Amino acid sequence: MTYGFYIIAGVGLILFQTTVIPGIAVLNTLFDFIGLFVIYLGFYRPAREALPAVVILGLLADNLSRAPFMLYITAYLWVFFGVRVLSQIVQVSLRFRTAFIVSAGVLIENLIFVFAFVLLGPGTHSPAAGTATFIIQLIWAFVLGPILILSFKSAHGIWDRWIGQEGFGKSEAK
Amino acid sequence: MLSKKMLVVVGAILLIVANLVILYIAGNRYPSHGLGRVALFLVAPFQDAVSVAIRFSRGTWDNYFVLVSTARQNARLKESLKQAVARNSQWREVELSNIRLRQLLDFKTAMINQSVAAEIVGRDPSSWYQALIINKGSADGIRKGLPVVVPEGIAGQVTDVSTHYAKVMLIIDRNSAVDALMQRTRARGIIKGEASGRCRFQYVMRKEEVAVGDKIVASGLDGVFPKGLAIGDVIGVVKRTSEIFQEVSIAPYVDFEKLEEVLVVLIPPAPDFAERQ
Repeated sequence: MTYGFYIIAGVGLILFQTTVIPGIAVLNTLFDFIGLFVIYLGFYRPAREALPAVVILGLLADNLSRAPFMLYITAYLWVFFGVRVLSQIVQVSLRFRTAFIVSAGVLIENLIFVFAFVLLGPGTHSPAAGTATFIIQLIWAFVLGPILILSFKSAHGIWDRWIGQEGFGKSEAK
Repeated sequence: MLSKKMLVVVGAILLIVANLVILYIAGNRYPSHGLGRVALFLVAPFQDAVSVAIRFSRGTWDNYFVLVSTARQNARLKESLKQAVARNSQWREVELSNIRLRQLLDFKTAMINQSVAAEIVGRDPSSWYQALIINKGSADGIRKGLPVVVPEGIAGQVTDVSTHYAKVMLIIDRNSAVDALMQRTRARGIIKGEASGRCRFQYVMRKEEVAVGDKIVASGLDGVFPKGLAIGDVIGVVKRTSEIFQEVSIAPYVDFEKLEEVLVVLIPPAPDFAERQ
């Protein structure tokens, strides 16, 4: 039933990202919330359970966007595995561990987009125009990311308790 | 014998290369996939519902505050209306002569009249690309390649269609290209989207005279956008001595952040574009 949570959270975030955020000018440069959910999945959930959700989210985002097809799936998979590797490398005692890993996840996603933007698209576009967006997203991710990641975690816990699965902690990757 | 660390590095490099190749192939093949329509079919109705709810809430909120100043505004508008009625009778004469002249020039206004109004229900999830989801699809006569306009000018082009929804690439998307010309000098070029939300007027010969404030309109030569539709104003010109072309920056007339409704012009797209899709 944990997939129920993934479906509701995933679709909810896609709707938030594509309908609510564009209407609020201040939030327009905020990071990709679906990507943040992928970071959460990479950080806290077992790969076997989370991977289908990551691929489906990537596919949905790919098809709602003008980005080259498979860019989102690619980005989300790299973010997912990148976060998993980082969460094993970075010391648990580090003060801003979650903030650091979330920022790294957002950085990986943006780097992939910049790569696609510069090398895969037509013309000779400079990434300079996107640099500001890039930096703003990283700052947002460092500040807001950990709070949102913990919110996802706690919402998932509530969901599991609500449908009678007390073992939320048992299925955690760490 | 390779060490485990070396194997991981080699594996990662191979994975990255394979990924790049897949992305390159998939990216170049882009436009339509059956899966794209499934995603539109599944997600767009929810986007539609959320957009309607947001619009309703915003409308209610705005109306509440508008009511406060409505009385004053009403008096001011009545005064303006009196003046407008007087001016209107003069303009009627101008309009009649305009109609005669249009007929004389065989101006095909019917092309614009054959259009479908649509509401925007969603936007591109990425800030790197610029697309919209509209609540009209193939059931309403929408097809890939059709131009999308608003009263201010050109907004974009339909790139993917499901039964009741369609995806529109905006002219500020970097993949967009519109054949255009400068209204004053008739200099021709291609309007390309920029990441900054502006456009660039490319391939304008260096010898052409371009000034800030010049208006850019569609040339109609791309077979997609009707000739004469407004695009934007020139806001910057750079002429480098070593270049054949000059760099011209354009501010589009359309405020893409505030777009809520659009018109899809139902003219057939050029055959080669439809084939590419």
